[in-house]
Amino acid sequence: MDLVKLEIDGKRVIAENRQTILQVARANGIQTIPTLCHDNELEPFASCFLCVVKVQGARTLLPACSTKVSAGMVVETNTPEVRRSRKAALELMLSNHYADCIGPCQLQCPAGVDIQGYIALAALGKYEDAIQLIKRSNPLPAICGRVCTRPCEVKGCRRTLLDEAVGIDYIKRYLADLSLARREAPRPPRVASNGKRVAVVGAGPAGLSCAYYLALKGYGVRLFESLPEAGGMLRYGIPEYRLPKDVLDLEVNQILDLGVTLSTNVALGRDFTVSSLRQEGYDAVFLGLGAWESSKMRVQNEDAPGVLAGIEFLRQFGLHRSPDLHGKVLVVGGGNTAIDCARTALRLNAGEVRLLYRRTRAEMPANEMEIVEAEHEGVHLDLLVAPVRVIAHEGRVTALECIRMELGEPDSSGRRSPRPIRGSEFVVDCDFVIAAIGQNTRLQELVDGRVPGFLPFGEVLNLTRWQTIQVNDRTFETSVEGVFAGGDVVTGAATAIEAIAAGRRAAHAIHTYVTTGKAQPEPVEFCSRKDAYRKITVDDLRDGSRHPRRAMPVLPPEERRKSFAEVEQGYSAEDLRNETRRCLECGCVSLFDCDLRRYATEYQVDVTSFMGEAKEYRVDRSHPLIELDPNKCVLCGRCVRMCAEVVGVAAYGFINRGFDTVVRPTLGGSLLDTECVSCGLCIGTCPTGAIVERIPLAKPGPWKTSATPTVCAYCSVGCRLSHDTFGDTLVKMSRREEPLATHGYHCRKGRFGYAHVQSRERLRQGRIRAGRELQDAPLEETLRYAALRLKELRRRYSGREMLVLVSPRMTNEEIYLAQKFARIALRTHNVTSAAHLVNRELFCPEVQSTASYADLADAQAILVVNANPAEDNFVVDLLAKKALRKGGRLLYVGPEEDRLAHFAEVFLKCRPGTQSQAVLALLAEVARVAPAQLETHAELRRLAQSPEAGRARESCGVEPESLAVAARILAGSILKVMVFSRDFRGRRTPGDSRFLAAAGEALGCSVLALHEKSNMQGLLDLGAHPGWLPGYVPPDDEAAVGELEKEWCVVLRDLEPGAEDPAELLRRKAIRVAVVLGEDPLGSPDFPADLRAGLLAADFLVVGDLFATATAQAASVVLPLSSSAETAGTVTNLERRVQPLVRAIPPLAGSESWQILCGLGAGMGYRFKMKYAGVDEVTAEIRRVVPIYRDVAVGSQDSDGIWDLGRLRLPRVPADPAGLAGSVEPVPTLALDELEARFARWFEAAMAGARASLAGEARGEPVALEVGPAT
Amino acid sequence: MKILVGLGTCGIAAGAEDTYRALREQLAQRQPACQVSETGCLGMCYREPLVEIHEDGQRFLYGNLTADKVGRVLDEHVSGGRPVEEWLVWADDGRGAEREFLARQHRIVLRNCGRINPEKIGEYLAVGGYEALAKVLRDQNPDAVISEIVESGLRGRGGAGFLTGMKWRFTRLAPGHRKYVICNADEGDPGAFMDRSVLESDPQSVLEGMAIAGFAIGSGDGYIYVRAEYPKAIERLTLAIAQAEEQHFLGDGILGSGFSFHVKLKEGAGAFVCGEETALIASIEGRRGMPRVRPPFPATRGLWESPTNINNVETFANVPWILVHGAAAFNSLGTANSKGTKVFALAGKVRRGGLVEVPMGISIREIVHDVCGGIKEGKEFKAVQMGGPSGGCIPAVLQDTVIDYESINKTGAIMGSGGLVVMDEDTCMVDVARFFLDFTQRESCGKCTFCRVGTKRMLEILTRITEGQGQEGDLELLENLANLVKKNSLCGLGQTAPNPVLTTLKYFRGEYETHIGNHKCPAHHCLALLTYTITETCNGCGACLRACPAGAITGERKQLHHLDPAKCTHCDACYRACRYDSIAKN
Repeated sequence: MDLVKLEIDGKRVIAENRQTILQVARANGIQTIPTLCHDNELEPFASCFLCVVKVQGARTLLPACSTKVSAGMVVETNTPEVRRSRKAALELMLSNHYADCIGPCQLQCPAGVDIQGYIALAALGKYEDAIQLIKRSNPLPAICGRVCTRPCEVKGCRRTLLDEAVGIDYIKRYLADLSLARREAPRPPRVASNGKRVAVVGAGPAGLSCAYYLALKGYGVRLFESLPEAGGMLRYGIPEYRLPKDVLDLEVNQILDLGVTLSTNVALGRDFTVSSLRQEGYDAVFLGLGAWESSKMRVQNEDAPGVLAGIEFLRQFGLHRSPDLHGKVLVVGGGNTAIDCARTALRLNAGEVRLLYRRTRAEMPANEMEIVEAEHEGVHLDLLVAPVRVIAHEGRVTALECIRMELGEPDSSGRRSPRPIRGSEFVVDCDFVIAAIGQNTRLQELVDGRVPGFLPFGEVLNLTRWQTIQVNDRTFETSVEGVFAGGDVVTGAATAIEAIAAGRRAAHAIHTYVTTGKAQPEPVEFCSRKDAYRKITVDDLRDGSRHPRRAMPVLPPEERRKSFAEVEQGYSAEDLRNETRRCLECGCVSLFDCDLRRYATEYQVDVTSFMGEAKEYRVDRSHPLIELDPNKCVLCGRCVRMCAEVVGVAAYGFINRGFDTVVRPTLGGSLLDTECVSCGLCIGTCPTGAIVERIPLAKPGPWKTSATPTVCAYCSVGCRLSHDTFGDTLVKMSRREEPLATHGYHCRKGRFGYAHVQSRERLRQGRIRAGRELQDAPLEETLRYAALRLKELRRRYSGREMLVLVSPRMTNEEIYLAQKFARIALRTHNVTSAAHLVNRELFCPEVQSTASYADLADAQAILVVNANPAEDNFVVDLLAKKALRKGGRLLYVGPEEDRLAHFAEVFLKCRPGTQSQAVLALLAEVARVAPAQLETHAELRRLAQSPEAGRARESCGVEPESLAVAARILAGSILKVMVFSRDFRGRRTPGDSRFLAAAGEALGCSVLALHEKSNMQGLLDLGAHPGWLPGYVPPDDEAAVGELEKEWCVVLRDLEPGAEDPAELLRRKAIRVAVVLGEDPLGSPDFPADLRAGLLAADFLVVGDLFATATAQAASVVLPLSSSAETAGTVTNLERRVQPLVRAIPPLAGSESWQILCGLGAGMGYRFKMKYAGVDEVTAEIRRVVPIYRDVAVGSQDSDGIWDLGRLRLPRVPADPAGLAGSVEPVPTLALDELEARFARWFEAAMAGARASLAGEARGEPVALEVGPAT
Repeated sequence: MKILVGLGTCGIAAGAEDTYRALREQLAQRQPACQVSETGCLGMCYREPLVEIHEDGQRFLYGNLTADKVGRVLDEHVSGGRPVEEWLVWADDGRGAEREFLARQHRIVLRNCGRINPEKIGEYLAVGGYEALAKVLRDQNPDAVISEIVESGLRGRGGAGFLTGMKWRFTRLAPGHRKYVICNADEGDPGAFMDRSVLESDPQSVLEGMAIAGFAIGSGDGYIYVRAEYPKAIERLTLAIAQAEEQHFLGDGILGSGFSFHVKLKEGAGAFVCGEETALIASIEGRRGMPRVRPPFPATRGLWESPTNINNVETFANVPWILVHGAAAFNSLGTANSKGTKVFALAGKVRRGGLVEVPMGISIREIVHDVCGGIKEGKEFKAVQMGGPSGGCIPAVLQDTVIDYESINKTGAIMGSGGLVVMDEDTCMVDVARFFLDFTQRESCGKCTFCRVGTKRMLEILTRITEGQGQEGDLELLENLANLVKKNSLCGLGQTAPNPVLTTLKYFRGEYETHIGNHKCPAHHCLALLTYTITETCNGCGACLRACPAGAITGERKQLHHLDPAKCTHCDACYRACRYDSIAKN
């Protein structure tokens, strides 16, 4: 290894010559090199060619991921040539990417609302999160839920190919109504003012939307409205039976609540001008004036009294100035306004309402549903009829002369144009004619100079030939500096959702204009679309079963005519659940974490460049947890390599050649047919949506989640993962690509086992026993009650009769508080874990890991004994394989050849239960071939040379050659690690942990002592043990106890000594009061009957848990604890590394477990001794009280994060050869735990279901595989 | 008297086995003393079956000697002593119609091909086989061997032309307790069959070359990675290995020395990309044949992560000759930077197609016109495709280019392994490019984006052009893509796949433009672009009418027929049916 100097993008850097350009660039903060095929944990592959860079002097661009740096190299990472090449690579990949980024519903929505996302949230019952998601794009969901023309459903929804569109709009309305009705619903907080002001002229949908998004960015917004109230066309153009005014008011008020000021009855051109706004210092102006002028029919006598203009009629009605309508009313026109006029007229006591339209019903621009409802209400349609002349008598309309029409050739819009049929004129008598044939703006009078000084001097507001304002169609800038426009005044009469979209987009442009001086359009992200390749058919849908759409309940037509009461009544909760299930989830689950899409956006990819044949593959959903969509695969091979190299399974392979190459499960079948272990590392490394998890939620989103770093709650390896959350929902767990400690590895439990966090079965409040029943009670009350009873019982019973059991999955802080509670409140040292009761072996402080993961991954020789890491501590297995990839050699001692043993160079096969003897034999062999090795271990040397060693050699049955080879490997290696599990579940000898730890040390190995549960190390470190106080302090260490007394402000020395074997107390039924936190001994089949009886015999049993476990069922009081996603604190892994947990979502029951423990203590009178403002204060106290934790850099991924063994005050006990004879089968500690059992049940069921389904398919009886949401 | 029958795959395909059987049967009756023996391929594939009669040190070679002709040869020549002159292609006495073909060649690699029986190690030994290995083992000086090879100037005949001796030296110097020698016999270029022929006709020379390489670099293990599609080669190699082991030219303690060398055969599964050395190694290791990033080169990290030397068949076959005759003899042949000879497999529109070995420095013109007798049917020489699908087209105007790695590279083609396809005026260059790209496109391993998708898109454009759907801008797009694929691929397959397209675009751009702009194929090859008409010479025989599947041809018997261009599907059936040249295509 040499250090070299080179230059990257003009920056001089120093690097090792074995590093690649990509590594060096990233290490130096140069993030301009994209890559799809590179993963830090894998060897360079160089297939995607996105990472190409320009190296001075090189003939071609070079892939940075695989080109090593050299001295004097000059690298440019982002030149135009480089960018062109990358762009072409992306375009080629995407020319063969038969996939949808987002669903067609969202694509069709003018405002681009994330429909799939909010439907998925609604399906989860996360209504408030859903409405917040909608409001990111549309601030008026309750209004839109009623009046939208629904392009998402009509043109977007693919379900129309199957049955009917999903009731998207109805779902939205339900969510919005619910949110409006909830007083405590969170409202966006007022944002601190940024000091800038914007005038928004026109309080219609465009103006309101623009004002909303500007206000959220901190602008001072004033809305100018010419009419008496805000709402524009929503208020004065849409009748109340479609949009109740109180709904409108509520949503408008939400916008005003953000600090937007509203001035009504002020009209542009009359009361103020663009110039005056500028003079008043507004930084920008938005014009959302609408299109309020009804188009003329252009027939004779059009101005006769009794002839009304459509939009004007509605507006007058909205202003409560409607004419006294009676008799027969003719409405001319076929749009929504015409229908609104007709239905309004009906409600205004018109005797008969007829709607005249010049084309057929199929061509009517009004929404189909509106037409149907109008007909239901009694509106009569006269189709293929056009007005010719208004017949007036005595200056008032009496009839309308009409002409029949026929349809001719399609015109440029694709609609067949109507032609009058000569001589077919006829006369219809009537009392009123309402002409609703179109709307125009009223701009001409503003810009033609009639309003003096309307515009600042020298500026011109350009109009189109349709008299609408001409704007830049992406930034909404008009020809006047700083003036933007949107809505009907730009588009002519259009829909509310288009106006809302324009308002939002203009707000973005205005924001960039005000802050940077140049208006920028809202960024547009790359979007792959299946229908760019071919027309989608029903066969493309993920599910072909038909489910009818839930009909919207409506008022009966006879009731409607009597009033303006809202016709549509809204969905019920049941309707909503059904309707959300109908969504086909067309969009990609990886939308928000797809690197391909990110780069495609960044490089402004144009897929049309290289369009040609595209492959189409069936999506493989045969595995219950992992979904494969080869259509989205870019052949980067990361999954293939991750699975083969890191996991050592090779479940994936490349199949076929050339353009037909595809990545599939090996041999092309299902993942279930491979050796797949469902670890999910393929998902974490896949840069696109080709491999995704089938998440155990009702719907998979996708949502733009936030990632909170955390530590896995399952085993003691302590893998770093992310909690990916949306709002308060834990959406998934994901891999953290950190090349340190656990290298971003994880197992299936870590990846998929998080459903318990949001399970419906979680305890949400306390429970108190009343007679035979446990009754729900608020947490506060439960705590008060429990504390009161405990206080009372403490007076009655001594500390010897108290027992606290703590789960080794709880955080350090929780464990610390639990033992503190036991010692100060219950006055007992009897605090431990249930695992201790069945396996005392666990509790010997002299057995500690002396190796770190870095040692393991770098080891030259690894000796595994009494462990099955592939099953129990999967990532240790992966780290060992990492060492093997680097040339390390594996020795495996055990009775059976399990998965890791396959990788062993020497498999020392011994008789069951004789592993320790085998190690002793190995020790003796090493002593023989390399006597120097054992020099510092006199006792072990004696043992190795004793007859006992000879007997061990005989009894273990390991082949002598294997022993010899293994001994030579050990003697010839310097970096050596011994791995054993303290929770080993096979047959073993008593005292083996101590022996193995000592033997490992004698062999020159550092030791990795595995545990099953995530924080067993912390539990031991923090004194949840009758025999020692936090930090392994013996209770008779007066100095140390004295310090603790000072810190805790209690006397500890008068506590009776803790029971040497707490199980004995239970056996004798001597425990009167028990507090069990996070453990379920009674639910475990392995918990011995006598201990069970002992626990049940207690007078008072307090149980804290996530679930109503069997133990909780037997409790006097149940406390709802928080899961590891819901609390902060620290946990200590088996390396003794202290890692932080960060709270990702609020605790389901409202309080975090540490707060509950403090609450219990407070209730017992330790209000001040257990008072902490935050969990940080508990951590700080631990650092003061527990010397070994004092100087640990919590969270550090190097050795600073590991507490220093040298600070452990206990004398380390040498080898304990006593236990070499006889074997025991220890109780699996795992079974004492609900969390693991839940996951195992769910996983096994899912796999069994999937296998059955696959087998059925093979027999030609396809069984639909439904992976139920994990509960 | 001894009679040799060429029983290479080419001979067998032409019926040589029947000839062989007929000879044996008929001789058994007439002249049992006369020995009939099989041999390999002499290279004169256009004249197979070949039979050579040795008589009193005189050799007479008969061409196209099918079984039915055997009787007359036996009657007149063997029994009568009068060679059948009309069938004689070559004889020591100066007779024979095809003297030119052999006269211009210089045979080092093919020295024993068609001369000895490949199934008998004794015949190899009789012509000096294993002398080189014996000498090397006697001298026990690996560095001297390497120096000799370096000095000879031998360059890898697989295509890239890296100095073989240097490669050996790197492998020798690379640290590693185990090293490997691999013979790349995965000859995948369409139209190339040099390696097959050598393996079938003279397998021992390859084994000897490998053993020498093994000794030089310090390796005791060799692999021959041979295509499963070469059953005859595999059969003879297997036999040759067994015989060599039996005689202690392979195996433990070769020729009594301390040197051991074992050779294993590994059959490839027909993936073109496995000719690429890292893909080949992956394939031997049991993984998918997919190239990996280099460096590290196989010389430092190859098979099973150990230093590995890979040469192709032709390279190894050169080695014993060099060590026997000396580097100077070898490097006296050829040009400044390309020494020795090169074997070419000639195919296409050339009169004498087959295998030729010529000294480096000879011109393309000489190969095509002098050695191979020019173009068939007197047509115009248009171009040669050199180097298979990785190579490029060299147009007739550049036919004076000499055979030399650097000169060939300058034209945009590559030396490659020696495939030479000769094209005449009827060859459409767009279609040629399409043909080769179609091959590489299918054979891409699928790893690199540009090679996998880029070549597919190029192929789509070329197909579009040959089908008359070419568009404005297609050539620019094609050229742009070709350059991108060339630059952004990991291995030689992708880096060279665009060569046929780029060279045809360079030398025949007009032809492309005519396809796109005028919707015409100047070579009258692209059916979709042709207009079929019936000329005045039609005598109304009705053959075309019957052949036409689209009913586009009408006409009374014995009357001039008429072809309706609107109905014509350009299937070419009428053209092929007409015996009077009365169908014109333009």
